[in-house]
Amino acid sequence: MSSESYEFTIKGTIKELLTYKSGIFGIAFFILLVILSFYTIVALPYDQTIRLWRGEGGVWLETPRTAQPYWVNYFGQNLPETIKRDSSQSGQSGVIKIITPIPDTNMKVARISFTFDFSYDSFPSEINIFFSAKYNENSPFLNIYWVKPDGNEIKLLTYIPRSQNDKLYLSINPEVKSALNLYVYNVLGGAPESPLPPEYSLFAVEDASMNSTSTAKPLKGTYKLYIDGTLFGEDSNIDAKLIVYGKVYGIAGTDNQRRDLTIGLLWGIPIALAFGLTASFVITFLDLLLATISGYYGGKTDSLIQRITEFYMILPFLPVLIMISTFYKLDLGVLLAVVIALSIFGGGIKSTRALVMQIKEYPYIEAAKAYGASSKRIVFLYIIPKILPPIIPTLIGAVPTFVFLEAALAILGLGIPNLPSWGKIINDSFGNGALYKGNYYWVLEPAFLLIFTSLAFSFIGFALDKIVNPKLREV
Amino acid sequence: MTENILTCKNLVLHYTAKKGVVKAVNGISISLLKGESLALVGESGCGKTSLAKAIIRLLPRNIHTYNGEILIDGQDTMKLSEKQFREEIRWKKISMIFQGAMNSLNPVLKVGYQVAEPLLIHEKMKKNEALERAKKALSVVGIQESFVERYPFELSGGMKQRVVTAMALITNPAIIILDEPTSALDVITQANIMNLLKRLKKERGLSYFFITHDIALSSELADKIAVMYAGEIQEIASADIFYKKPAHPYSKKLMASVPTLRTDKKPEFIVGSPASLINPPSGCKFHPRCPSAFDKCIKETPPTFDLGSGHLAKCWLFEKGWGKE
Amino acid sequence: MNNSEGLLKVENLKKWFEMRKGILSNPVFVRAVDDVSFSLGKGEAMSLVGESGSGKTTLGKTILRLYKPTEGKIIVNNKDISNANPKELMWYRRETSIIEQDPYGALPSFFTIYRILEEPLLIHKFGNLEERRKRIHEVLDEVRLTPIEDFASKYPHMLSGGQLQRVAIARALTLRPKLVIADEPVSMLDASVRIEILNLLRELQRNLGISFIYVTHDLTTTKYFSERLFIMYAGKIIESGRMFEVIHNPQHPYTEALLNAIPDPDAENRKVLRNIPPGEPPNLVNPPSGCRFHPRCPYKMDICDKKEPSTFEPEREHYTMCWLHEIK
Repeated sequence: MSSESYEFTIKGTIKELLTYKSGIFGIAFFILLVILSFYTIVALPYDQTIRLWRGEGGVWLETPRTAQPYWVNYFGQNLPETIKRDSSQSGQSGVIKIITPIPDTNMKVARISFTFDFSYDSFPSEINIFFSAKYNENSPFLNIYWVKPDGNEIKLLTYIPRSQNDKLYLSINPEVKSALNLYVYNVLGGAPESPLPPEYSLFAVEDASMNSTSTAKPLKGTYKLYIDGTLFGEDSNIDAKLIVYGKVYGIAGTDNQRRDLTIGLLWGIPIALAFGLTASFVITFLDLLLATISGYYGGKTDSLIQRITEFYMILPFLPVLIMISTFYKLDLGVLLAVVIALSIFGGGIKSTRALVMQIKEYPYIEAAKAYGASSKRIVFLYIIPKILPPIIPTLIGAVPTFVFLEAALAILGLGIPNLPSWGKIINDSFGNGALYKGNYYWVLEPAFLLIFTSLAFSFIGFALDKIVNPKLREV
Repeated sequence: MTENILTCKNLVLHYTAKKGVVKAVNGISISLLKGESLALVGESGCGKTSLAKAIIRLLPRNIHTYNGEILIDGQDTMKLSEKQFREEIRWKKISMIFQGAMNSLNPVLKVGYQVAEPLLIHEKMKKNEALERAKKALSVVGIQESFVERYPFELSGGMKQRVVTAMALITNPAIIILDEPTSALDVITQANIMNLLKRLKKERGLSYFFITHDIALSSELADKIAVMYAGEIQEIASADIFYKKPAHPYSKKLMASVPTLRTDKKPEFIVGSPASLINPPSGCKFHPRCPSAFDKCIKETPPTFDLGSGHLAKCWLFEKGWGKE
Repeated sequence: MNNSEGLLKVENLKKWFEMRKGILSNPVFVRAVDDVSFSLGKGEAMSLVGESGSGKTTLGKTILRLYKPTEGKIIVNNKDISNANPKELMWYRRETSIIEQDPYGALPSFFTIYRILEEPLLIHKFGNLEERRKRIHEVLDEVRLTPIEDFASKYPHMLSGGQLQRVAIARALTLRPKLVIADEPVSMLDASVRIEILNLLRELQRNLGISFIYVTHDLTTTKYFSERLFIMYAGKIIESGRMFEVIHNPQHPYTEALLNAIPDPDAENRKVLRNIPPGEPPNLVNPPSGCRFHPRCPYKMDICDKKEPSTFEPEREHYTMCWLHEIK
């Protein structure tokens, strides 16, 4: 222990921390979390995030549901990514849009064709077409066809959009379904074992494997969807956006509401840090103050504070918290205040008070009285700085407790409703049978971040303990 | 012709510490005759307790080097295994009273049991018999037999010291190492304990290895004095010579620093602080604080010179013999 | 012959500590200081010697009003401070200071040396920054902790025991006190450093004209330190007088025992047993009746266990509480 060279400054402490492996890891993790927090707060402003998380304005329509993170493809999987073809984007490859007016009429012929390559080993999760039609009285009349790489062409349906912005959900549209069922019947020469959803029928290799969803394999190659349509009206126009939804999306995947989990995960960092650090610091400092007053002054003040503490220690923390959050609408600040209020008079006071009572007997305190230091001065300038070092590891080590507390409340469904926190994500995942359905990433990602954050503080706390504890023997 | 009951030849004990190697015992050779008392004096941090621990082999874990020859009653104990040492030597031929011994009593065991414990272990005695011996041992050191039923916290400091003395005596060893046996005691209690130790020595023919920083106190028991500094023995002299005319400059300084009651000599302090055991000075380790230091002292470590009649000094001043410096 | 004016007068001072064995049982009292009277002149140094449990530390601390006296009076510069409250004592805090036994525990570990020395000045609102700096440099110079700039910015854990005690002494001097009480100032230091520190204290005491009470259990260190010697036993001052007289001509059997118990380095010591009384100091909750030393006293007479001896003056300005010296 290089206590001779150790200085009581922050710089000195950090230097000392870096001599421990756990200290290095802890600080590295912590810095990473702080950087990510700042990035998140700047790049994804809070209000905007809340709106995004609520899904206002249909922002998530173009992301797949419960998609895994894209990097699972590096582990031997070959899951499809989302493929988009937008006819309003001029110059995009694979898109051809021709609108020809029919002379002597106010009708137009429209031909939109989308081509794309599909070389994945798994079927898309969903296929939708978003129409943007411009018309006065009569909606366009559209025939939609599908061409597989092997040349087989299927007419999907005849479609008349009912509004300027209509959506055609190929995966669930009944006409499309019956058209495809018929198609499959013809290919197999009979009904398949289990009915194939449209995304399977549209992509499957046409052989015996088409019999059931478990054996079907996607046919790799160039696919084409084309729309032959008739438009009515001089200034009529039509645009279509084809989205073949994949099974992977982004760094973190999506949830059942198609939300990109990275937003929730990233925002969880500043929320966890703010909650954990604030709770820990405030509680520790209030505890410090109360314990010092209790231990130093003794007498009736001491008895009073100790009895209050004992009363609080008997109260069951979590049930009371649950009770409060059931009856009152909580936001993050109120939850924090309640947690702090319930935690101050806890066991921490007892141990700090024991320390204070020990230090009270030190010669330098007596000497201070001899040269006229007032009790207040002694408490704040002589006792508190002395008990601070041993308390700091506890303070840091307590942060994970509060991080987990906030998550636990959210998992129990008692958290703050629209807050994208890790606990909320886990809560959503459980509520949607994530583990049952195999969407492990949805649970593991927030869990991993919770553990990572705890490790950051625990590592620093352990290393600090080792630094501070030899001095504890002197204390 | 009395023989040596304890002989150390070139005993070395170095520890590993974070800052380096602590050369606490750096090649020490001393001997103790049967029935003789040797006082080992030195300032704190010179390695005295380490030497005691090296002899009785109560070593910590961070040993760097431990070698040399230790002959106890003719037997080379360095060659013995730990098991042999524990059974044949420790608390059979040689026992120890530790520094701050009062705190080394187990607070939850009765005093009688603790005094009897060495018997239970070494002589495999039955409990009753051992307790009887314990009672006798306590009365020898001046504690009533009824105290076997008491707990350490019920005893005063002086009484606890006597209990620990009884524990060290109960297996009748020939040598007792006393490491600052009266450090926390009041002057009168200290004198009482010294009287006890003097009596026991006479009655039982014990040999004492008496470690202390208090030179005045050392004269209470010492037939011979060894002065230790920076892990080495600087001077060995008989009591008659040492207290009147010490040879080594350090010994002279030590004697001059003792505040006396009965003479009018004003005590002088020694400049500087004890040498570091990790980074000792070059040459003679005392040279930075020595008023008689000259060139050779800084460059070469002096060997131990024989000044006649068993008087040894490790100082270049005596290269040509005593009285010729 | 006491030429200096009186600074401190202690009259029948008692300090008893209350100990309750249980909520319902009657309280018992530890009679740490039990009827002590003496006076100390300006610039005079006295040594207060006693074994542990004699009450010497309590006496010193009560005089400093770190404890409130149970009974009796403490009069300083003609002001009775026995019952003053903390506010009324602020001037007293300025005029007195303590040097504690444990150099490592006596200084706050988280302040620099400069800051430690600044504290008393700040509390008593002494001057401005520049004036404080000047005073701090002065005292560091007086205790010979030089170079000053070096030491001023260090923390306690960087200094040795001897250096720390110098800082403690410097701190005691910052407000230029009139009375300093040193409670075993060197007993936790290495033997070689003790003389140095004691010499320093004596020098400072003389040069600055401070009244000094040196509390210790080590009689041998008091000889060159003070003009007067006080011996304390079981809460009472059983002998007092001029230093060399008490040492060379002790009047109380306890003082005699104390002197007999202390060895000087002498090769003959090992051949003789010391002539000292058996037993240990009594506990202060239930001290022996009459003279508290009577159970151990080789000269015990009939009256000794029945009546507490008064203070007698067998020689001029040499006092003792012993029936042997009753002047009939």
